[in-house]
Amino acid sequence: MEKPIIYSFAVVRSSSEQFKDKTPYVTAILENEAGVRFPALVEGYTDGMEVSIGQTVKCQLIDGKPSCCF
Amino acid sequence: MRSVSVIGIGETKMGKYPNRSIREMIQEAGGAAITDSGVEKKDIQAVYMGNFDGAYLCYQNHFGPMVSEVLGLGNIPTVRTEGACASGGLAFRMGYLGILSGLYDIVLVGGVEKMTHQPTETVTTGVASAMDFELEAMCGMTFPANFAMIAKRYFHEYRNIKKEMGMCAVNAHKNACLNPDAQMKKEFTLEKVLAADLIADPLSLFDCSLVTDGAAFVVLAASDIAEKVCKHRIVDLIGSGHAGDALTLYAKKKITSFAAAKAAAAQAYGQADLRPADIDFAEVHDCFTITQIINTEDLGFFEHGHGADAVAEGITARDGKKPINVSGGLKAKGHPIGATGISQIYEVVTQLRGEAGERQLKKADIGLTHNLGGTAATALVNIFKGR
Repeated sequence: MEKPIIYSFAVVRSSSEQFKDKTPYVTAILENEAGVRFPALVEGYTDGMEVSIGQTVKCQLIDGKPSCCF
Repeated sequence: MRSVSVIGIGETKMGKYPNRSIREMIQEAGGAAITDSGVEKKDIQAVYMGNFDGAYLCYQNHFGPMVSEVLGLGNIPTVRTEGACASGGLAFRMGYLGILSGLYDIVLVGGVEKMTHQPTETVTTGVASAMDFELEAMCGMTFPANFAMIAKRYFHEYRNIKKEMGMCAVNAHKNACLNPDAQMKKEFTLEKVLAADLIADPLSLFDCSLVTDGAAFVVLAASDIAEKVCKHRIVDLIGSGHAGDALTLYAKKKITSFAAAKAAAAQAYGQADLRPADIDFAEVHDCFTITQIINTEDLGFFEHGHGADAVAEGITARDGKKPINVSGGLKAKGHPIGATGISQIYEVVTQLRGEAGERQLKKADIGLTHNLGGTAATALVNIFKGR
């Protein structure tokens, strides 16, 4: 699960209460090499950054949960 | 098998009514449906009531007895249904099954939601409980975000249809101008729609449905009873489907078509012995403009990947060959979540009766409703025919 690809994503500008300090941010469905999909907030998005389906991101497991960034 | 008909309909105006109580909306819409049906209150044998987010937004649950108390229906059994944005559709389905089973002859089915008194972020948080809160919402996902991911993937698999999505919004608002119950009776140009602020790229403000207060009710009866009491054109439910899918978006095999909706549609078409081409018009669940386009593909009106072409060609407009959401839809009539599935049925029955006033369709004999819950995790499709 180290370098999954983006299956689809959204740049969120209007969030729920818990995430309002993080906007804009990217939330995505990622797909690992085995074809397994999982949801993630991909850290490190800034406006003007190119993000596309099929792009690779970096993930590591922290306390059993994927932590992902560009 | 027993046949079931809709004999009464009633709804509130949809809109922003922060000072209206839930009880007031139930009284108005439920009372109107019973009066319209021509049956006495004592003839109603059960209540099925859809509501989604009462506990979060209004600190209110237990909507069944509220309905029977407000409407004076005595000690009859009541059930509250919850299936996110399909809560109303589920109530209708349960009421239908209640009559189909032979247990009841006449039931009242409704839905209500009160939302606009809360700030947008509170509504967004409350609505996010219709996805998986731990797995999705805690990754920052919201409903606009989930449907933005669906749109992005659709653009990737087919083509960019942002412009046609905008046309869906333009059509919806145009239609709503002719609907006295619609929340947003205002026309917008495509340029204005396309230039609106982004909510979750590629969805902008006009790609999203409205936050709405409102209630809608219908009275259902076994068809032999409907023939005796109904003062209007009798509207028979000739096909009904209900199917489900994974709660989360990422666990769905495909996200550019909704398996639950396709399965529910197959059931409804099968029961009615009809094909998509036989449907005169439809009210489909346009929680977002991308959803409307996918829904019309899932219902078999258009090939997958070609729903947007139909919008651009004017086929889905009110004067087109397959009018979609002549009420204004969730986009412009409004989306009072728990009431939406019933509000769609209200429109179809109104059109089939020929009582739609300025927005009346010329050909309205067979109409379809399509109601989705969550990220297309619950789907209900109904086909109605006027006699």
